Amino acid sequence: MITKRCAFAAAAVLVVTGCTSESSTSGCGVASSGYTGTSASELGAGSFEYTDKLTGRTPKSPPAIAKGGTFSLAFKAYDAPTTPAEVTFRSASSERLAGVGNDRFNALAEGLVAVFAMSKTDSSQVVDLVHLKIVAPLAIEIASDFISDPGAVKDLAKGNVELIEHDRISFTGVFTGTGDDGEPLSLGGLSPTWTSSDEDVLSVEVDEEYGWVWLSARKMGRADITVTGAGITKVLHVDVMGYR
Amino acid sequence: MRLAALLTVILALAGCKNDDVTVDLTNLQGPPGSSLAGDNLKIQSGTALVVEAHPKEGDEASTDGVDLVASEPFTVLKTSAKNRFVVSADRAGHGTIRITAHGSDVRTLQADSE
Repeated sequence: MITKRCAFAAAAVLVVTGCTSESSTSGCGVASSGYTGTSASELGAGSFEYTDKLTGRTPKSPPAIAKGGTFSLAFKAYDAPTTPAEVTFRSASSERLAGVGNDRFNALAEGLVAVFAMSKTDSSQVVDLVHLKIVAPLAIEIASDFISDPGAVKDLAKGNVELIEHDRISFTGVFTGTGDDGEPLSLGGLSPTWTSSDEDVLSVEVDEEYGWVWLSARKMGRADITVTGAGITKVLHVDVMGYR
Repeated sequence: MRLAALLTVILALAGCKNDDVTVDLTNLQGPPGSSLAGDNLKIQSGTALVVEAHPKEGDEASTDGVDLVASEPFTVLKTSAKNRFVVSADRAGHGTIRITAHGSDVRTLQADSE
């Protein structure tokens, strides 16, 4: 306890911040929704933008980051919407999320981790913060984005695919983990590698910009596509058929 | 002349109050596992909790600025808002967070991180 102050000073203008409610759910730009582990800004000063460095994608932030994944963040202040704020990023736990340079991160261990956008002009001041969830990848979810022949893909869930000669079909492979609710969770920051057992039958081409993989059926035959990463392997058995 | 000066000083001192400064704390919505209850603060390691200090003199709110001083494994960072701070812990452990006003301790929190 301390004692002090003159009445003259105590009579000074009283400034009330208006942010006095415990566990505030409104006002002062504080996120009001339930906590989901996404990259919603928590001080309401701006927005965090996630970029997946491996694929170059800059989509909406993923629900979670794959353990072993790499990504980068940018921060845009609401009062300067067209210009990234002058901030440096700091992880609350270097054992869980290691910074590489100013804006890139390696997700090292599972769990929730806070990332602070620190003022460049006052390195002790937090401009805003975000919590990100790091989850161990358990599976690779493969989906087909575009099918030139709607009847071409057969039973993708079991890994059996039929293509027609000269088909060119795009796939995506996304690592998934388990969310707090036990449901599968798509993970960012990590992309599997795709290889063909026979490039003469089926070639693989990665679209770095969008993170898609194109499979081109070059001639009749059979090839296995191996999709692998983070110790997980999934195999697609592909039969390339002739024109019916 | 001297008498007038002495009277001025006496009047000024009479206007001084010796109210104790106390600080109420609240927290903004934080990640799961974080809480602030009384003098006990809990957060999960690697996460952060935003707390706001509300200094009072007697029963009246004060505009004074306060500081939070943390011991390891806790860290306190200030924000652009007066008396709003971000508390984090980089690993599991126990520590204290001292709340100071005008350089003197006002309150101490027991902090735990899992």
